Amino acid sequence: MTVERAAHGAAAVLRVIEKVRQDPGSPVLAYQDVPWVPGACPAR
Amino acid sequence: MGAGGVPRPLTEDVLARISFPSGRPLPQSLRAWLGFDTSLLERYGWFAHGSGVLTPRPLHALVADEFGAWWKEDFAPFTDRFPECFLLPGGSDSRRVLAVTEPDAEGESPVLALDMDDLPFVGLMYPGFDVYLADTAGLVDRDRGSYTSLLRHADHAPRMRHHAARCLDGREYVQYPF
Repeated sequence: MTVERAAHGAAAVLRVIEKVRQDPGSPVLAYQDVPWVPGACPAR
Repeated sequence: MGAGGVPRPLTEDVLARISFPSGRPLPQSLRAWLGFDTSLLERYGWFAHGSGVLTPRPLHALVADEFGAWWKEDFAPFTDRFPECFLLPGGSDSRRVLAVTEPDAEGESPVLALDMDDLPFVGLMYPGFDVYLADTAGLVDRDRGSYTSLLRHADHAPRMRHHAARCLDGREYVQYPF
């Protein structure tokens, strides 16, 4: 499930909310002040 | 999220009247998220304690709080351009910042990446809170080798170019000295 062009704005967020509700263990739901994205400091 | 991973939404009455202190309206994406959960962003200083009042900082103040007061003067040139900024989760040594600006076609303001390693860097990372959050949830296919790769993304590039033109004089990033 990717966010294609038609799913910008609130529609994209509703997809995130749907995903979080379906997967309580997802990184978004479990987020506890640690980096979400591995290798989060990429090249410039 | 609240304790135990339970989302805590903004109450409907607060959601109906909330706006940025400048008077700019919230993008629909942020409004939708706050209708689901406030606790995540609350931990990042988005709200005055125990209220629905948003508390942005000018970019130079946010940088001073996050990286040290000695950077305050160096980031002062951004104050007029980015007077309302909010720290977002993400990054390790770097930071993600929602900068409230003139919105793009989706009504969104850009998310910046700040990286202070070597030469301090301010770059456009996402065209809005919508794509930032979707990427955080793993819903965006993008090149993760560069902060600014969405400027070359088939779907997101037009909005990124809008923000580059309005925020960084057409550039995708700027480096110290600003």
